[in-house]
Amino acid sequence: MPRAKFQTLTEQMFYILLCLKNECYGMDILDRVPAMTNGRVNVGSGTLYNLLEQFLEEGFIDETKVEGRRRSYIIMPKGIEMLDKEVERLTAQLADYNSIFRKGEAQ
Amino acid sequence: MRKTKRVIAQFTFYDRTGIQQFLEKQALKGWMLEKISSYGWKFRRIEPQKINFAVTYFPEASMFDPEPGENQKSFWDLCEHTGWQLASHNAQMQIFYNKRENPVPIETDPETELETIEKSAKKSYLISYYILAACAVLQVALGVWQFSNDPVEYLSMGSSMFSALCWTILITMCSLEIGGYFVWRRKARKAIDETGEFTATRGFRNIQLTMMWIILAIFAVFIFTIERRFAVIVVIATFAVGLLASAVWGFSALLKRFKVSAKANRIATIIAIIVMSFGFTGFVAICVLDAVISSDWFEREAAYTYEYKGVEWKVYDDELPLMVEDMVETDYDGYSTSWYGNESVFLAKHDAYQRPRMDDLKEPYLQYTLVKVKMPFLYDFIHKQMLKDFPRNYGVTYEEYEFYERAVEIDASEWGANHAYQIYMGDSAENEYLLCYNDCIIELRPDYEMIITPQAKANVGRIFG
Repeated sequence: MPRAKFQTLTEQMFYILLCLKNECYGMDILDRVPAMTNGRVNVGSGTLYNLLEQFLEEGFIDETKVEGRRRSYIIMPKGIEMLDKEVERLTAQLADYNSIFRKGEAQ
Repeated sequence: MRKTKRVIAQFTFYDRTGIQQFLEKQALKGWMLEKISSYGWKFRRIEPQKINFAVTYFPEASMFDPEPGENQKSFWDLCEHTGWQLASHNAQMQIFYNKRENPVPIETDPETELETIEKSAKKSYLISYYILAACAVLQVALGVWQFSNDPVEYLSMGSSMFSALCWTILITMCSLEIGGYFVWRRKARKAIDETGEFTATRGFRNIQLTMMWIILAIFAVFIFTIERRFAVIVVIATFAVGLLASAVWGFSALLKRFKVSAKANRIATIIAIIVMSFGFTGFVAICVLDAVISSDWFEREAAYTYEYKGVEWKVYDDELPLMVEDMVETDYDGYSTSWYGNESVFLAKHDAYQRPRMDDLKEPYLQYTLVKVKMPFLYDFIHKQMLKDFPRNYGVTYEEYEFYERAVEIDASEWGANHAYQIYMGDSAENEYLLCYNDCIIELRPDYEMIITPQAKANVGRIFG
């Protein structure tokens, strides 16, 4: 059962899962997240390590390759589901925002 | 100039904020952390500079790991990727440094960070504090029991009070660590829910170091105030316990070197601790017994010995504050005088006796217990206790019993005392007195046939008053 903490995703969780659409190494995630977000979001190495462990445990991602200390991961259907749910939530949020402020502008 | 230095760490285990700040300050002063271990933290001299430190916890790691596991190493690799180099690690605690400016912190999510600290605490740090606290509580309870059995004796024993103090300080330290952790954790959890921020930790390093120095100082005072031969025993025992601890850790380190798994090492080390502790206790017991039986190490030196009916008797020649000669006239010179007891900062309690030789038993004897109260606030308490213990009924509570002893207050002025009591059995007064002077109380038990003259009483008053 997913824990309460995964009811919603934090920004860091969101981008880690996003990176894993394609198989990649943990280290790559550390570079890709800031690159993807123009440095707005940074994931610390400790946080990444622990989140990857938790994602594996929850079945959001899977380990694809273990070359000694280098490990690569890829997102699993359950992880994609989590991302979709989050996007739905964000879209709903955006729609609510638009319905209030954009309407105001139009008037 | 020194190239390296060692620092007693004594950091609160979860105090990642305090440790970070400490290490950054050391780097600014020109000291770089080289190694953390149970024996203190080692620093080496560097150019003073600003270095960022990060303290993180890796719950999977154990102090018994033969070498860092693959997971731990891949964690280090990830950190290295963002410029965080491992400075040192010990069990779960991992310390990194980073020379880059404004590096991405290792922990960017307060919730995950709190979780790793919680896991590490639950897995090892808290457990060791619980065990330590349990030992300390047991020891203090033992002390309380001894105290309630015989408070006067207990308060006169420097050693038992020193040990009670040490264990009490230890309980305080454990409570600070355990209680401090839970208080901090609650605050941190709340802060994450409300603001999403990590709550800085606060350690008790200064309190801990102060307490440690207090224990050392009291130990030094204790060693220098007890009798030389006991001091020697205490120092040897202290070293032996230290040696024992090193042997256990050495054993564990050896197993690590032979790549024994953490689980096996933990079990073997626990067994080693138990076996060595029992072995050590047994060894000491045998040594003590041997010393008692075969030598006179524990025996006080006698002035001379004599034989009476095939048994050797010792004659002591200690100086006594009050002698038979102060109470009755005698020209007998074969007395053995013994003065023996304990002394602490609170009380000095000594048993004195003056006995004739076995072949002169018709000569009068004298025995008494002198308690000197060094702390005036204790006087009333000691007075009450000694008065309570003065009649010796050995648990008999039946007051109509022919030999039931009662303490009866008598005229103190004759004795030059503030209070005086005498034992009565029924209507007959016994030759046993409890005399209270300004700073001492004496339980006087002269020869039951001795006739105590007013002059003798005045002499006692002159000596103790």
